Amino acid sequence: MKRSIVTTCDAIKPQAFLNDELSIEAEERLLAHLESCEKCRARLINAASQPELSREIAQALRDQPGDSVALCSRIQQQANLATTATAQIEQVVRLLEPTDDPTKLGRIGGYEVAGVVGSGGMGAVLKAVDPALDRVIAIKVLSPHLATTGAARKRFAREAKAAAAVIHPNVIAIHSVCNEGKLPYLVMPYIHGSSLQKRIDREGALPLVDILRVGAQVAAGLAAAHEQGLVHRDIKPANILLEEGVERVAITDFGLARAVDDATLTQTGMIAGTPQYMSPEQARGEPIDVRSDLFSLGSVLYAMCTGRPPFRAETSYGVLRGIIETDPRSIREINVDAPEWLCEIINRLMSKHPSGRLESASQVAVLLNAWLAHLHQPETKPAPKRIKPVPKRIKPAPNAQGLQWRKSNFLLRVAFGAGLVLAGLMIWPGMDRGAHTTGGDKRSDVPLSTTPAQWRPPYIDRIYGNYDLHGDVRCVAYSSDGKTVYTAGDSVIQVRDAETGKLIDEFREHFGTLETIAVSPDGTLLAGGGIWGELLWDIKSRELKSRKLFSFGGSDHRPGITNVAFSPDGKRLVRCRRWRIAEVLDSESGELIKELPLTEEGRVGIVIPAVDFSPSGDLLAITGDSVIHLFDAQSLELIRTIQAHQTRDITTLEFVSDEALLSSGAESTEGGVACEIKLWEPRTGNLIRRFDIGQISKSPPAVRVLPQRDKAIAELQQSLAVIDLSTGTTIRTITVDETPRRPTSFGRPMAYHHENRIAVAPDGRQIAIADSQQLQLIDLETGARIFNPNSGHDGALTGLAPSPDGDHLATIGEDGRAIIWNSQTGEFVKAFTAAPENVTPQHIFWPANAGTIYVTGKLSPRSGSYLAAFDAQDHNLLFELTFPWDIVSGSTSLSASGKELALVINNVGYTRTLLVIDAHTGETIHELKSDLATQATAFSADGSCLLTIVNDRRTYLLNTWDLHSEQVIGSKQLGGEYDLVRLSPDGELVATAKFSRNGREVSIVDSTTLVSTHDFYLHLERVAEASFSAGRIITMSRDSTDWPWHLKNVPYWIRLRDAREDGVVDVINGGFMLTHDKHVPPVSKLQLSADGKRLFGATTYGVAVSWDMSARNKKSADEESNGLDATERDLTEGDSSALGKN
Amino acid sequence: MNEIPETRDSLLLRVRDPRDREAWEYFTEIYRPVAYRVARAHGLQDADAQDLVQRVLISVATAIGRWQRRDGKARFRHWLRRVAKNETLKLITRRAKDAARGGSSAMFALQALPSGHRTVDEAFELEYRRQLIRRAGAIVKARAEQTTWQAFSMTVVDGMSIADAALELGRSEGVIYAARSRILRRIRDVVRQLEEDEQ
Repeated sequence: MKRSIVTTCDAIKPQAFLNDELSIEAEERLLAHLESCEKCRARLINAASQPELSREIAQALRDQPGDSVALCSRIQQQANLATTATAQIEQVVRLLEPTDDPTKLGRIGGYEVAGVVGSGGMGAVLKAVDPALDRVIAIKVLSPHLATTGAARKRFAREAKAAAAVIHPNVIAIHSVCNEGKLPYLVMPYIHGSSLQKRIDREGALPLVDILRVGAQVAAGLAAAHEQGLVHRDIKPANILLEEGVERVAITDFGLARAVDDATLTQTGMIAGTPQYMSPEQARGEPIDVRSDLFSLGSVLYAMCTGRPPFRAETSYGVLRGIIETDPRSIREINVDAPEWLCEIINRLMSKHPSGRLESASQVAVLLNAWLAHLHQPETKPAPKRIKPVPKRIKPAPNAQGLQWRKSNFLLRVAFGAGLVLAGLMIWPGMDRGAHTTGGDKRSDVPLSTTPAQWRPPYIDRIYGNYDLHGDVRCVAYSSDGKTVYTAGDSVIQVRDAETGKLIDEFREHFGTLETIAVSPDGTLLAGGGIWGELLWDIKSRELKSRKLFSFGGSDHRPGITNVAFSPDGKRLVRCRRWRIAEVLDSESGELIKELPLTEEGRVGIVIPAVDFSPSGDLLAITGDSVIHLFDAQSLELIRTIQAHQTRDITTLEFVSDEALLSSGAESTEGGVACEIKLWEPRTGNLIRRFDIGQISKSPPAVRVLPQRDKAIAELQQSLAVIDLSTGTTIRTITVDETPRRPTSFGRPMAYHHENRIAVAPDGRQIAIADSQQLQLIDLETGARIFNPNSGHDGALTGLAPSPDGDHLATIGEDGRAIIWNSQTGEFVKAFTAAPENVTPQHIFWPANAGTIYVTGKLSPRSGSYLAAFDAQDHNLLFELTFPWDIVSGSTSLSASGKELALVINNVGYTRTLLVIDAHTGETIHELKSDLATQATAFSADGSCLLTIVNDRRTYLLNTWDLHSEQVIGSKQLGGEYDLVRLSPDGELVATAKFSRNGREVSIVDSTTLVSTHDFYLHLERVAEASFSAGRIITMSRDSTDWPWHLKNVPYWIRLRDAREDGVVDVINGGFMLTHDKHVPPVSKLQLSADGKRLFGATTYGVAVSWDMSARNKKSADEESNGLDATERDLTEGDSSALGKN
Repeated sequence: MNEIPETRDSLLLRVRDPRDREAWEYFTEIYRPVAYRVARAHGLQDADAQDLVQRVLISVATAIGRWQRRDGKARFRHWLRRVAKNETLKLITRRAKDAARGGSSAMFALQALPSGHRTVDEAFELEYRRQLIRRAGAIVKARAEQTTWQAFSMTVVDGMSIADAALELGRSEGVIYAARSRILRRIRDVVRQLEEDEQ
């Protein structure tokens, strides 16, 4: 008898089902039952998780843009930030009408809202059901804050109706428009799929065929709208939908941008959304026509080719300026695979002037379709005719320093909609070095880098410290003849003579920090890779054969390289990537031959620590956690796996010979790291020998087999042990680094794969150790250090001070040392310990009349601060003090007599202690208590009073303390809302910087009268630094935000002005350094020598630099200063006219 | 099923060795977005928020050396979270005093602020919890069949109706209900397990 399929509710066991405890039959019964039983559905849902938790899970996952692996991309997507999106959605949902249907969120018009699809600049998109036609639709609701005025709503409805008239397969149809009720909305078909933006975020650059297909369809859709005279105004990847399953592309939001612009402008005075795809005429606020959409289409094609928008900056304003003023980076620089003809089309579309663009959207559609056809059938469909390039813009010839100044268009007005002038004045530097290091558009014809050896930033004529060594060196390799040693760090490869350590060549190109490099056996190729990029470099011709950069997106798009190795014949290259991927490539073509299968055993780690070929080239060994994989190097078949170190992770794997394979395993223990070495017979997998290296207190040692094959070398803490492989005994120990190094912020937390830091020369006589900023070449026979440029700071520089006589420069770094340099020659003079182990130095202060150098620092690990005074002549310690709280940064000042030193201690909360101490003994003279946040001090000329800058909540005050009575005798209001306030050392002037409509306004005020002596608006971004020095006010700011990021040059500009009179003294491009992080100013702590002839700055790379100001002025007298003067003049005039008009 | 290798304490302990990339990455994967989102929610611009995140990570990296297993109860994770939170808190509050804002950035920042303004502490806890859930989601997703995950994602995350999801995936409604519940339960379990490691 057939069993009934009807199951009673009692027989349903949700818990058992969720715990996977049901048999297959029982599970099927449950599923069948769920088809019809509402009650059991609810039971199941409730059993799975509490409703609150379910909501929380949904919320958290909804807020998650992109793949969970690609964190960085998530950070990038500020547009998708949960806070705004969620708030907007909540707001819209709250305004929905109630519904009877419990499964729905609410009702709008007659439609039942089932969910929220997303939200954007103009509002939210809801998913709803049209009960009349029983179809799923999408409803775009204008955001409540935009729907407040009647005019805005009418505008919205009018534009939407015009858009509804466009009927085309590549344009989303608009079913209806509603302007009544609380929320105006549009009704559109619901399309299952995602936007082009999402796809680019996910995958980066798209395949060529997809670029053409999407591009042609968007162009066709645009053509249909343009025929009716309708301009889209907001063509961007987020407005292009890719229908799932079908290869159809549809444009959304036709004409709405305009309606929304108007509404936002009235509401907030600001434009909504991202301007990244705007045309130049749109950015300028000029009237636009259909050709504006062509520019945006070009930008979208650009984004599909490169994976990112053509113009990027941190602020919308910066983007707009980029759109108007600069050419985007050449596509082929980012994606070498993009064909030349496509770049030509995009360049034409992105012509700054509308007349330079291709004629129409339909022409673009025809062209892209023709190329698409040609790609599919190259035999039958001929390639379309190539597009002529846009006539080149005329650029001024570069002057002697390589700087280009554009001498027109200084007054740039960015106007939106109804005559709103948003800003600004600027000078716009040309591409500076970018122009010749990367070549321009015709990059394919020239080597990627023509940078000469020992590249120096422009202008800088002195460098104090080891600038030669690019910061954060992580890997090192010898050439096969042993004559050359290669090191790689952050986007730099350096080539050195192995005999002397002298720098021979340097190669700079953006590839991020390399974790591993390998030189091919014939010495012609260098392969390297890191988290961010990988490259194959032709050493002889200095050409980059290939480069791939991490693109934000899924795991397939990240280089994530941890190890590379060439086969002994040089024909193959093994590349290990994160997530335990090992690939064998053809080293000539770079093509993938095979991905090697690694076992799942012990699969925990994501990193493959080591890889090696046997000397004969027959075997290939790759580790994975505690397992060694042995492959036949020819057939690439797995021969066997060896469980090598059980609980220990393998850190080193190297063939001693064809008959012996060495592995070392390390394990963290309570006492440190325990390490063992094992030798294996690779053919059989048998263990030959095992010995312990013992407990090492730091990290797993790197082990390297010496070429003599009977010994290995292990890097222990600060020493090298030479181990006899036949007995396992340590024959000899070599000290590596006698100076105890304290941990610095420099690369340490992120330093990864330390085995790559050590290389043995092919003749076995030398070893190279690269560590952070150091490269040591050590003679293994004698233990002598051949090269160890250890005269500069290890770690970041924290402060600098020019000597009062101008002959010397004192620097202090987080390594705790102070170094005195000859300021003219850059030579190292002397170093002394300026801070004990438990102090992180912060500032160094070398005042004119005390004969003393002061050093301040922070205590660690407990809180508190440190002050020490050293004799400026012999650098003997005069006194040292510790305080339970921090010294306020920059609060130290010396009286004119040189006898008293004032500083401010930051107690908890707002109270401060002002200390006046004897400048030579450290004895307290006055201890003043203030309830207010005191930031700066200066003595009056006669030393009777102490001036302080006080921040009282939001207002700044200038207070005067009478030192005799220890009372505040005067308090003046300086105003508020400043970015920063500075007091001149003599207390006579106050400098303030704040945001104003014309940019960042820097103002100099007389401290007695509070009359402003002069103001200037030269910085467009936040003033990062300001200081009074040698009668000048020095300010620094990132004035332009769009810059060739691959050079990582941060365009900070330093401006020097006379502190008392209006007038520019000098302008310096401070964005010269390769910095690890573009948000850190490349130079800081700017100080002039007392005679004003030299400007000093500290860099993030642990070196100080200086500019010879007198040489600059002389040099620039003929060529540059004219340009600069004109620039400044125009700016000043621009200032007044812009102010006058508004 | 519930064994999650990533939650093993030993892995996290290895963060103490600053050269241990894997452990460090696990750590940053959790805390980077948390600190970033908290910073953004408190009105920092993208660049400043990223800068803050970097500084939090550096501070934590330097603090890690100080951790000692003083008593068995102070779990390393718990300690780590406290340090990360304090550091974020410190940087945000400290920063606020000197930061002037105006013009466009202020406008965007104001619009970006969540309606009920949370304290840094609350925001951190909230974001931390969300990040745990996201991580749990990722773990479950990696182990679930694609359609099972889709059924969950469509109905719970994207808010699609059961009927639509069934149509979309070509499965019966019962299957969708079952899949959705199963994934929810697994996420719940993994979140609990991640949380247990905290206590």
